[in-house]
Order: sequence, then C-alpha cells, then structure tokens
Amino acid sequence: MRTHRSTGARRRWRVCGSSAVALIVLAACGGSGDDDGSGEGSGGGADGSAEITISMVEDADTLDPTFGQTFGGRYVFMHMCEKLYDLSPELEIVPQLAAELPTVSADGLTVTIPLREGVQFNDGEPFDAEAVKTSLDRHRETEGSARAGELAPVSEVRVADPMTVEIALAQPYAPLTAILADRSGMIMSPAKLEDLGEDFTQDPSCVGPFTLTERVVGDRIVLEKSDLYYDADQIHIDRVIMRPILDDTVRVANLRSGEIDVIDRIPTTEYAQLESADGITVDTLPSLGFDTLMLNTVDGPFADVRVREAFELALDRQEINDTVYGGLHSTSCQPFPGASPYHLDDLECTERDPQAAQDLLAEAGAATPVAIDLVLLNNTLSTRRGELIQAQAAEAGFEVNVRPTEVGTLIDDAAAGAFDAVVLTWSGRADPDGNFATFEHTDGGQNFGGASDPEIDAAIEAARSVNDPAERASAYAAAWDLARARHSEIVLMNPNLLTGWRDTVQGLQLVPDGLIRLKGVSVSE
Amino acid sequence: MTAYVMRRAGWAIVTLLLASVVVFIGAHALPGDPALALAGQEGARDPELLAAIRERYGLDQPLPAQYVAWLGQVLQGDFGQSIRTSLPVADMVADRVPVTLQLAACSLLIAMLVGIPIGVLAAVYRGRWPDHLGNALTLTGMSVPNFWVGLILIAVFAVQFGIFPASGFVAFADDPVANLQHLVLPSVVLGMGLSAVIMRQTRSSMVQTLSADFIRTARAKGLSEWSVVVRHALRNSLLTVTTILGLQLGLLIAGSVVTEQIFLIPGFGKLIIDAVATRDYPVIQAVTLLAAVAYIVVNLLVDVLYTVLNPRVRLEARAA
Repeated sequence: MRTHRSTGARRRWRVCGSSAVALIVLAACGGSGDDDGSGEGSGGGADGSAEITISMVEDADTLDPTFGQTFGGRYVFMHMCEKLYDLSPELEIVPQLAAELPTVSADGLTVTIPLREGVQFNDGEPFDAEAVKTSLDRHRETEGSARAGELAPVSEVRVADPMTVEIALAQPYAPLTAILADRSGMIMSPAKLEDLGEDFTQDPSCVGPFTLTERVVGDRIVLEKSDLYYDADQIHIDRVIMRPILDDTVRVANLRSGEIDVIDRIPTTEYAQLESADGITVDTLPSLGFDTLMLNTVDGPFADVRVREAFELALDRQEINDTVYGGLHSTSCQPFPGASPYHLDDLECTERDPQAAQDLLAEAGAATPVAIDLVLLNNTLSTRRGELIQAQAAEAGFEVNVRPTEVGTLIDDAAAGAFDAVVLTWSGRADPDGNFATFEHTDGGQNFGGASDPEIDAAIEAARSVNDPAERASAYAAAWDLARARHSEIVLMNPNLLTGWRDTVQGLQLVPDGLIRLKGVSVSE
Repeated sequence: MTAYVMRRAGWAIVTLLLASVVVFIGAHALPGDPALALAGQEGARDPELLAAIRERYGLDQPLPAQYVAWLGQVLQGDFGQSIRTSLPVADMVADRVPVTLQLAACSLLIAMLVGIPIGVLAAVYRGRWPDHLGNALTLTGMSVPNFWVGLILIAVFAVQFGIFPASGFVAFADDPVANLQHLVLPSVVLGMGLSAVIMRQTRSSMVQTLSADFIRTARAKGLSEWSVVVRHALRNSLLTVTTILGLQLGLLIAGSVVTEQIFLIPGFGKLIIDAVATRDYPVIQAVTLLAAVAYIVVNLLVDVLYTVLNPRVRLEARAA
C-alpha cells in the first residue's frame, strides 16, 4: 500500500510536470495573437533601414570569382564584385572598374585598359593596376580555375603604369572585353587573397556597392551597403538578402505574401495571375539565353546527319511555345538572341514537315520508328515540353523516350554521351562566342554531342579574331551557316526574362543577362 | 540498471560505426560525380578542371582511403570542406541543428496534443461515432502528402489572409515572436502525419488496457470514469506510445526534408536535399551521420526512459 501510494505520487508529479512542459511548448509554438505575419520582406528592416529581399532560382556555389560556376553565383557577385566592364540594358559593353573601353593595338595582340581612379576595395585596400594583375593572373594560373579556359589566349598581364594594365594576347581575341564583363573581369582585394588564398570565399572582398556579411548555405546570403564604394550616392539600399528558392510555386507564393520583394523566372503558368495581382509589378524582356537540343552525333541514330535533320523537321517550335509556355517566350533557331546585335534577322526557321522528315529517314535507311532517348530536366514545364516533342516526333517516325532527370544526373549523362538528345538551357552571354563556340566548337564546353568539324572550328576561330563589329557579325553568320547544316544542335527558343517585384521597389530595370542591378533602386515602406 | 544502460550504450557505438560505413558508401553510391556537378554544364568537358577538383577534395583517392581519412577527421570533430561552397561543413551543419530540433519539438508537441486525446476518445467510445471520426481523421492525416498540405496552408494563411509568414526562419534569440510565427505552419504540416500514428497507437493501447483486470478493479473501487480513463488506463497506455515516439523520429527527420523545402527552413532536411542535388559528399555524409546519431541516441534514451517508466523492464534487465 505504501509502495502504491508513493508510485502514485511520483506518477502524479510526472504527469503534472509533463503537462506543464506541454503547456509551455504549446504557448511557445502556437503563441502570439499578433497578426503581423508579413515578415521581414517588404521595405524596411527591423531598424528602419532600407532592405530588399531577392529570390534566386539556385543557390550560389563558392563565392570566389576564380572558381565559381553557377548562375546563382553570378547573381550574387553582381552586388559585391564589380568587373572591369559591365553590360548595359542596351547590351553594350560599358566600363565599370575600367575608366574606358580598351584600346587594341593594330596587330590585335595588345589590349590596354585604363582604370578608374579613386576606387577602394571593401576591405579598404586601394584599387590599382597591380591588383588587377594579381586577380587576372589568379584567374589564369590557379589550378582548377574555372576562368582559365576563357582566358587561355592571354599570354601576359602587365602593369603599364599604376592605373593602366596591358594584356598581351597570343592571338587576336575579340571576345576578351565581354569576358572581362563577367567573372574573369572581377577583381579581388590582393590583401584578402594573400590572407585567405583558396579560402577567399570565406570572407570575400572586392570592389562593390555591397559586401558579404552572412551566408547560410541554401538559405540566405546577406549583403550590407559598403561605405567605401565609389558610387555610394547611387545606392539607396542598406541591406540585400538573397534567398535561393528552387520551387516555382513557392517562389511565387513568397512574392505574393511579401516575404520576397523580387523574383525572376516566373513560371509562365503563373505570369498572368501575377500581372493582375495587387501590389505586384511584372516585367519581361528578351534574355541573352536560349534552350537548345543537343544531338549525339557520335553514337546512336543521330550519328547520321539526315536523321538529325529529320528530327528538326519533326518539331513545331511555335506549338511548343504556345502550348507549354503560353506563348510567353520567343521561338528561335539560332544562338544569337533577338536582343543581340549579332542576331540574324533574315534567318528562317525550318517549318514542321513530318512527311519530309519521314522521307529523310527512308533515305537514311533508318528502321522506323527510330528510338530516341531524350534527356531533360525533371521540372514540370520541361517534362511537358519533352512530352510534346515526343508527340510531334511520333508523327515523323520517331519513338521518343522522355527521360526527366535532376540536374546532377543530366550533366553526368551529357558528359558521358549517354543520350541521343539532351535539352540544355543556357543563360546566355553578351558576346556571340559565349553562345556559339561553347556548343559548336570541337572543344566547346557544352558540345556534349561530340560534333567535330575542322571547317566549323576554323570559322569560329576566325570570327573570334576579328575586332570590327560588322566584320565579326558576318563572320559569325557564316560560321552559323555551316553549323546549321550539321544539325548537331536544334535551338528551340529564346526565353524572355519574366520578373516580378513588389510595388515597394522602385527603379528596377531589367538587363538581358537576367542579373538584377541595384544601382538607383530604392524601397519604400 | 547501470549495466543495462552501459550495454545499450556499447551497442549504440557499434551501430554508429556501422552507420558511418553505410553513410559513406551510400553517399558515394549516388549516381553522379561531384566533380561534374561542381564543374557544371560549362565545365563538364574540361578534363583539367575536373582533375583539379578531384585532387582538391581527395576524390582521386581509392574509396577505402577516402573513408579512413574522413572517419579520422570526423573523430576529431572536423567534417571537412563542402565541395560546392568550399565552406567548412561543421559550420554549415551547426547552424541547422537548433532549427530542425525546434521544428521537430513543435511538430511532436502538436502531434501529441492532437493524437493522444483523439486516441483516448476513440478507445473509450470504441465502435461509436468518435471512433469512426478518429479513424477518418487518421486515414486523412496519413494519406495526404506533406507538400500538398504545406502549399495549401501557405496559400490560405500566408497569401490570402497574411496571418503567418509563407517561409523562412528567424532564430528564437533574434526575435521570439517572429520565430514562433514562422514555425506554426511547418509544425502543423510535419505534426499531422505523426499525430495519426500517435492516435492509432494510443487507441489500440487504450483498448487493450481498458479491458485489463486492474481497470475493472478500479471501477469496482468506485473511482470516477475520468479517473479510471486518464489516471489509470492512459498512464499505462502511454508506455507503448513513448516507445513509438522514439521510433517515429525517423519519420520526423524524413518529413522535415519535404517540409523544410516548402517552407524554406534552413534545417537538416533542406541541407541534405541541396547537398544531394549537388553531390556534395562531405555535407551528405555529415548530415546523414548526425541523423543516425540522433536516431540512436533517442532510441537509447527511450530504452532508458522505458525502464524508468516501467519497473518490470528494470527487473527483467537486472535478472538477465
């Protein structure tokens, strides 16, 4: 009886104790009748400072311009690491850390770049030619540098005087200025490089309107306004929060609820709804990028050029754009986007012709239906596009197996040539070389189909070495003529930027490269 | 008692070592090459770049050598460097632990507050409408996918009414109110499936207990029905429920993967999804190993707690 009582007492205590804990946690979890759920997004930070929250479609990788590989990284660098040159909304290359456009020697082998005076890195170090040389040499020479390839034609970087650098080239190389308007042109503080070496990403410091203060991988990157920035008068925002949100639906919901101020790559299915939503502005602009179908020219049915041509004849680009993307993008059959001065205005895309496609297959002696392994990203719209391609191609004698995979496997299969066709999306580059050579040159980084033709390689290299814009344009037109006849790549469309922001954000202007610029932008409550 | 706990702890260490092997092999068995994932679409055909990446992260070494090196590091508390971001993995993980723990605690609490009372009612009114209603609720709770409920809750409570934030996380120390506001929706989503499990367990356990002799005795003594159900039957039934809760930790961790993704909560689940997508071995290994540690520790605690709650186990253990 005693035992029973004491156990009972202990149990009672235990039950009371756990109820009390439960109540506390309940209060904690359910808590706050406070209805202010609008979060930290819109307008001001807690201390009344101007804060803007921008979503990214993917997280950045390493925040080191020498090693960075992702669009997410470029998206962040834009605010913290300025480049020698930048791209204007009109797609012109304009000086940023350079004082003016480069002068190229008559033989095309020496490029002279005068630098902007009175500039400081965000760690207080002075910006000069020595610093530029240090960064460019690091981009070129560090083992594992992702920039080494595009800077390969550079043979030496010289300090001509404290505020002028001279770049010596092994051969004339017209894409250089555009390359210096991207990660290769980002200049890092030499003191930080000395200090951190390959761990620069742990505390990166460049010249830029903002400087990195916090990074929680996968969640947020926080940048604070820099007082040392040379153009600080133009910066009306104190804090930038960048949040990777991969899911389209979630990204849109967060813009609507006000957690996020700016989103881009609005899914076409949500665009109309956002357009009519209160408190939200949407805008669109042709991008520099394109979606393209790379065909395996080495193995499988597409090793025969006639089968490749037949596949292009099977496709109806307009139907793909209308059905899958609500007609919000632009069909295209060339790697030079509509906004680019290199765009071939007179180029006519092949019209869909299933009969002609079947004739070609018969001519090639291919047994129909020709089985095609089509690899693409596993998001909804991409898969839907794959299914439409499947349906269109079926009428022309192809049996397409659509294989949606996540991005890691897609790159694996692409690199291993384990596909007949793979859909690649490309954010695009300002210089035509970055949109063309990478897919069509034998050594091109994205020539996954293994297409190789000395004549096309020579045409690409020739176009690279011409500095006069008009001459360059005709050189690229000629090169594309050759590449098109090879049918190793079927360009499907030129997507438009689809960007939306809260009305509290003012002065935002889209640039075709799809990277947000914050100079002149302000936020209000 | 001490011997019993020591023996369990010994097994826990063996299990952990085995888990580390499985975790390592599992990460490396993923299709996809981290060097390719890092090099990305642009760099995937650049053999020099790929070789440099592999060398930098030791991926060019044979697998057993990589395992030994990794285990050696881990035992010293060093989880290496993320392949994707070049940041120390320990820092990346340390930020996540309190987040997921808080989410799990709140979800568990919601699950218990919902599951236990409904389970008790269903058992007491067995075969009548509260039982059927409870069954219908559990079936719904278990069948409806997390991501769908999450999106619906966001659409209603964040977008439509603006009562709760749609996403994100604020540390309790920074702003307690905002912290709790951010946790409500995800905890409901994550707790829902678990509450169904708890409800079913409570119900079956209560049904069994209510037919036991000591309950009849209690009734015969003239105790009130409330006293019989809550103080006698429920207390006994909660023993099995406690065990189940320990085992459900796996469900919570698995559920947090989806829930954190939808609500953009920087916890374990989101970290591992991002790491798997980029084949970031050191991060995948660190997160799964820590999840294994959590699972093993919680089960150890449950075992110990069980002996505290139930003297019979203690006696058996002493006899053994």
